[in-house]
Amino acid sequence: MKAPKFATAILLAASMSSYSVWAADAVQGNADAARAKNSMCIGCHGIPGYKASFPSVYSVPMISGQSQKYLENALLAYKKGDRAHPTMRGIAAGLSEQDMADLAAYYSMAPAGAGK
Amino acid sequence: MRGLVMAKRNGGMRLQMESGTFSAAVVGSVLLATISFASVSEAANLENGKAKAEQVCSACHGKDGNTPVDPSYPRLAGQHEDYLRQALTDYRSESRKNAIMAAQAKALTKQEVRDVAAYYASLPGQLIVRK
Repeated sequence: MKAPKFATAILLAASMSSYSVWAADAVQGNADAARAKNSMCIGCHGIPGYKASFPSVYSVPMISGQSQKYLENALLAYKKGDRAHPTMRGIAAGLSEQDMADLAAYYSMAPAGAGK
Repeated sequence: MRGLVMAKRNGGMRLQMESGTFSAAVVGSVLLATISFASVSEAANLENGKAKAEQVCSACHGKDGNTPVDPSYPRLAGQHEDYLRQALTDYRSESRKNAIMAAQAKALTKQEVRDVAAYYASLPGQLIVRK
């Protein structure tokens, strides 16, 4: 029974190491850390009724309450150029993946019972 | 605009009218004004928006617009109407790049964009403005 145990141990070790590699690659969002990073968000997204005026006039979206994944993807899309809004492109260009993950974590946590 | 002109004309006739006739004239011109304004501003139709949303959007964004089937899809319920309209317009022009949404948005007429945007904005949701 030694050989199968050894094989199991190898398999287990292999799966653990691949797991830790995967975990190290994924950026974990920290909502608390976002509090020091969201000053440029609140000037538009934190003001009720605020409208972006360039290049066209429309209400900035409500972002709080969206999922962490959606928010992170949105910031990545602005940085990559898949979304075109100039202000958001400029802001996202200055964010690291860690910054984006933190901000996404923060804004995805809408207070319970929020909304209209 | 036609309604406004009618209203003014009716206002001018007021002096020669009995008060009952006057009320009827006012109601009439208000009705006319409403009708002509509706056709000028191409108002959104919530009923049509609901029908279209349930036929097309709800499969991914959830029937209530608040329970998307994948975390990468946004909640739409309660979002600002003009933002939703803008998003669909940007998907159509592909200034916002997303293969799924480009196909969906291009299949909508401009009136349908107005209708579904108004419909989702009218739903109760959990999105908020927060600092």
